[in-house]
Amino acid sequence: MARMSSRRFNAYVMVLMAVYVALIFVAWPLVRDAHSVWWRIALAVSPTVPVACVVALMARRVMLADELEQRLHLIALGMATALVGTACLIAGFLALGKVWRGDGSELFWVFPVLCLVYGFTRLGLKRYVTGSWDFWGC
Amino acid sequence: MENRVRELREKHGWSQGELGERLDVSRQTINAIETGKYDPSLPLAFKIARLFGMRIETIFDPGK
Repeated sequence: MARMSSRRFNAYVMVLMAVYVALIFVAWPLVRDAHSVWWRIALAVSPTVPVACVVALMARRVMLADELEQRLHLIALGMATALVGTACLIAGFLALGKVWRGDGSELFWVFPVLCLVYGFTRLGLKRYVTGSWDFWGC
Repeated sequence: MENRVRELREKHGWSQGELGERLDVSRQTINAIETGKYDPSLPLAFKIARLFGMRIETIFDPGK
């Protein structure tokens, strides 16, 4: 199977992110007013659908990447998971010790922070190995 | 590991992108191999050797 071009990948991600933003602005405000529990659940989790599609798209792109790209993706993902996982563990212990009183909404930030750390780590690794700052053009 | 990929590519008059297309890898991967920042896997090293019609050990030198 042919490798996915950066332009095509970016186009798909942009469309899915536009859907995500639209759902956040349209569906999310309706959650509190929804009467049915099922309807409330559907509205609340609806923004995760385009995000799941982006994750699937990224997985497909990594699967079709060459060996060096796959290695960079894997190292970046491993480092990001270790960092964010450790931060979550610290937060969990602080919450258990009543040092930090969160209401659970902080969990919303785990995935975006993971993506951010992964992105920066991959950019740094790519810069080191290939000398390029181009994040998407792999 | 030292290699002669850049020398052989230039001898054939190919750009990094063209060599990448022939090997089905990215231009950056070719660049990383040529600069010695990345050692290719055995299948890719064999592919490179086959493309240039040479033995693998004449292209890649593990050094000491």
